[in-house]
Amino acid sequence: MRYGMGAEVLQDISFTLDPGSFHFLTGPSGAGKTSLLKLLYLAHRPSRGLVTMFGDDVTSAPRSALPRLRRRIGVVFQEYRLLDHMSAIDNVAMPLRIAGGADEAKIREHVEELLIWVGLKDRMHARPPTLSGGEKQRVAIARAVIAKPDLLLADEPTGNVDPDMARRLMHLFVELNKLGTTTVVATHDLELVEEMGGAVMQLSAGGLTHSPAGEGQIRNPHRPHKGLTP
Amino acid sequence: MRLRRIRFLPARAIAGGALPWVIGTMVFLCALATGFAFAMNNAVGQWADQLSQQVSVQIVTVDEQAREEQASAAIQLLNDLPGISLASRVSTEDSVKLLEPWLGAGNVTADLPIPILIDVAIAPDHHIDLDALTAQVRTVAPNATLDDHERWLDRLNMLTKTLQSVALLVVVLILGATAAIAAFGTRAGLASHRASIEIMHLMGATDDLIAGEFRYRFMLQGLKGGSFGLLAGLFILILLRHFASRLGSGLVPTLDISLAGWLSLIALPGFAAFLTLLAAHLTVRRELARMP
Repeated sequence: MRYGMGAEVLQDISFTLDPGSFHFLTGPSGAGKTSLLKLLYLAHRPSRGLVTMFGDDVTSAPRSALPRLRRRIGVVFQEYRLLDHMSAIDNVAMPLRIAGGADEAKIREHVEELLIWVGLKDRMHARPPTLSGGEKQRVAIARAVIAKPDLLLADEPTGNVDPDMARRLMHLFVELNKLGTTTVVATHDLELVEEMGGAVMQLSAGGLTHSPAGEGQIRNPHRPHKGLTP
Repeated sequence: MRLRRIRFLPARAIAGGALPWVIGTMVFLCALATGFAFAMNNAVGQWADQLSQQVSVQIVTVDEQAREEQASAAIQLLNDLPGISLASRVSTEDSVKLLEPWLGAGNVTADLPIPILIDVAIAPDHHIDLDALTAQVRTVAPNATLDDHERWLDRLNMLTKTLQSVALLVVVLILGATAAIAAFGTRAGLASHRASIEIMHLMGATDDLIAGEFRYRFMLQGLKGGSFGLLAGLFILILLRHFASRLGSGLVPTLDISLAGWLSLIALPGFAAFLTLLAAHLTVRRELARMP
């Protein structure tokens, strides 16, 4: 892909994510992890090559076809990207409201349940500017998973939370993955990768190396591990 | 366009607080232009109705006796004709008064051969052929000239149409400027809420859903500003109408506005709201089309 008139990034990369698999995306800063995620969450189209998602070729699909695909993808952005003037509850409810179809009472009930689960029971009505980094991250994660997406993409999702919360959040990803959500977690935290198991996609200047270790089978994140023990 | 709406923009004014004021000012000017155009139309219509039912006959000859004889014969003939409700002689005093602005008071002597004027009122729902009537009158009054004010009415109509065209042009220009301002406002709104729009876009909101929020917000601003503008415009029009009626009839039009005029005025805020909505919709859609 290419940003504007700049040089091409992510050349000669080819991989397939099996439905329901769990992957870590690692690599040094600047290797293109975020760019690869952008391709996957359809914020960019490739300048050449082919991206197929849920059976559709998104490289040449008309713009009008993309919103439907985007609704099947949950994204945890590195910089959260929450709507600052809205409460946590309204931020998390947004994907369900965009999808339409559900009544507002059910949406709120569902969102409140998830926010309680991520430890934000008392912060539901707070707006993002009043939340700590960790709280914002949990709101962003809750927003990404609320609609039970087919593909979950998380860019450094545990970077700002304490190890205990990191485990809880990873557990959430694993539970979602067990329900069939294909999950890609971009992270620098190699200890977390080692603890969790799962396939690893290593991005580097040379391209993408897809490690089959674990073949997408993820281990229980609640197992005590030195890197995640408080 | 879908009617489903998701609020994702802050409650505060979307394009700064100035937009309703600007739209209000535009609608105020539009209301004045529309009001004047309809009032003018109405006034001219009334004048034309009055004049088109009247013909003036002048008997112009220096021989006073012939003038009197021809006038009497003409009045008798005219009163006997079908389609004419009344032919009456304008008194010499009234004729002298009509000449006063040109000749001055007291300067008109008995020696001056003042033409005899005959007012002819045409019966309602009748139309007369001026040439035929002239020929008929001249059989008894060879020095008669007839005037149905057609030339004057034609000029008046042309003036009215020109003024109305100018008023229409003013309204169109103002509404165009309103749409342009709404488009600028939308662009400013888009720029300041770009992060929110992008995240909505990435969460799968369609262009129409995103544009819908802008449409709704700009429509409200258009309605709000437009309503205030209309109220201010109506206040001025009613005030002017009051002063015009106090000045007395005949001198100035009374600023009477027809039902169509009032309906057009009341529709102005709605039209302004629709224009701002449309401008916002097109601007947002164009900006969104640049996103992948």
